[in-house]
Amino acid sequence: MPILEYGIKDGELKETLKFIKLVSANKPALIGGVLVICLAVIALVAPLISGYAPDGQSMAEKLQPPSRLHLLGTDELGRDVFSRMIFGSRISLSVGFAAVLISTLIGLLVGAVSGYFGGWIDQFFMRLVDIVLSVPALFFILMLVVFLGPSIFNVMVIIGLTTWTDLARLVRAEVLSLKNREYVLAARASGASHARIIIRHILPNAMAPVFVSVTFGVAGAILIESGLSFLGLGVQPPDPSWGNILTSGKDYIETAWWLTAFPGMAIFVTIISYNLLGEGLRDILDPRLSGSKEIG
Amino acid sequence: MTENALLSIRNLHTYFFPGKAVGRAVEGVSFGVGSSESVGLVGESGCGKSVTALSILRLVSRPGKIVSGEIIFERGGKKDDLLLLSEKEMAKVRGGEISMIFQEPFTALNPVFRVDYQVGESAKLHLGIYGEALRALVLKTLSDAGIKDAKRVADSYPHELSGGLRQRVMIAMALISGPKLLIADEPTTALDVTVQAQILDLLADIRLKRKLSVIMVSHDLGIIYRICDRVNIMYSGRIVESSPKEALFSNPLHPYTAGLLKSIPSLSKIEKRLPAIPGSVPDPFDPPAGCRFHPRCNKAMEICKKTEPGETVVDGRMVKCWLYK
Repeated sequence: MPILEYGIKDGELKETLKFIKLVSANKPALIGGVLVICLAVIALVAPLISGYAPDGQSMAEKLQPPSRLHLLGTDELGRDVFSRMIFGSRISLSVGFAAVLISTLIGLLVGAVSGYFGGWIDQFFMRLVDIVLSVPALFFILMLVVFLGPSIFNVMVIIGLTTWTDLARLVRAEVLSLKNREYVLAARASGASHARIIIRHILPNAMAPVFVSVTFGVAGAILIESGLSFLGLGVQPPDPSWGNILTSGKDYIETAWWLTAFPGMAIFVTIISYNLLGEGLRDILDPRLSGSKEIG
Repeated sequence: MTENALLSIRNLHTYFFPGKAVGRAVEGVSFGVGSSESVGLVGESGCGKSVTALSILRLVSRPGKIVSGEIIFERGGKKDDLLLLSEKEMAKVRGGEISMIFQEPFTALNPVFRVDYQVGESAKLHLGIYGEALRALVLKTLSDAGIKDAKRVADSYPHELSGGLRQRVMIAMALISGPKLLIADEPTTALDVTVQAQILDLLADIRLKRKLSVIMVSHDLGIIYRICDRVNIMYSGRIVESSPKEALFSNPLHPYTAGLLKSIPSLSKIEKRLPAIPGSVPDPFDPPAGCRFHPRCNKAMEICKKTEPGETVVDGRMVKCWLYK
């Protein structure tokens, strides 16, 4: 699996190119990947292309339909919807990434430790997973938000803390099958410690499904964040997020359609593009599904 | 078992505990390996030879457990019981003082790392060498393992190499930190015959050059004959015969050894059918009473069914059989 290397040597460059080739041969991955990159670029250069400050009010221009001046119209306070949306994408994407980073770290740690050591450690963590999964996720999240208070940071942490379970199970299953490989025994026989074996020898071999899961995870986290913000429990105005733009727009849904249609579409396109990328990566990275495609 | 042995195993018991049953995989194994001596551990599949090898490095994984015994290893002038060392000390022994090579060169290398990383890892851990010096040592060790274009191999991934090359890489991995004892667990079983011969020559050569002690685990007496000075025949978790190579091959004492020798195909005589020992290795969870070999033995007597024979010394050779009491 060539993409799992760190740093770039001459051979690695060749393999990176090979991987890019594989991605471009896979339509869902290509479309998803291009969209994901576009969205990320838009978020990065938001101040350069917005034209207006996201919280700049102008009551004289309130609730204007899309025009040449305001591409996606204006809201009830006369703020430019386009610039609120692209600044909102910064917040939505960073919440998505940060939450997935947290959940991936927890999931990797719990899954690897459970799978590798087995026994009561495994029992303990897997029952913990069962408990987390037995509480409806949204209820759990809402409760935590109520306790900790709504803020961008809390939303990141809370989503991260509630979505690691699937990954933990996935990693545990991978580690279970990898830990009995002979190269793990060989590493033990050359004096490597348990921690070194898990981090250097087992996890790199388990990364393919993790990448796929992370991609889907970003989509899920963005969706949860939008939902929470829509309910007023996520990102708080005046900070723009796709969820809270939707909320403020829902009161005008009959008169100003653009306030809800565009953020809704943005969420839809983002989720779809991450899911397409995830599907594509799964096909590419899973040799059992890849059929005749040759890897490495 | 000489007193100046590099490694001496005394009365080793390694059992498996899956659920309530007890599998006695290794039961009272004792043998020694002298400095620069090469010792064979021979037996059919399931006789406990690999478990014995793994026990030396304390790498038997659950549900297996070393129940009792001593594994005395000479390190730094004093004799330590490996079974009593801390995990930390044991990590220094593994790879640094005792190395192991495995049967399957196709699975014993990690597919995501280049060869130089894997070969160098042990040197990082045991010798504390990094960077340029490490790279130089890796290349030197690879060429010591008989790899001609060491540079290209070092920059390859395992899947880009042939079975023979991979086994050479495994040998380099085992040797890089300069261990005193090499345990080779069926190192050539997965290779084809010509490559097998090359690897055996390489091991014989390295052994002499590095004054290495070797424990060769195999089911193949032909391989043992080429490499070993002394042979231990294992059956059902015990050593049933221990003898210098020449004596063992010319005059096997134990009926099991004799059976093994007869079942080696020979090019010089034409036989219709290769004689095989009937039956198979006893189930370690439910071994027969008395001598473990008696149900398959053509010389079994009444006493063999009831009582297990002890060690008998015949001409300086050890055998466990009632025929020699």
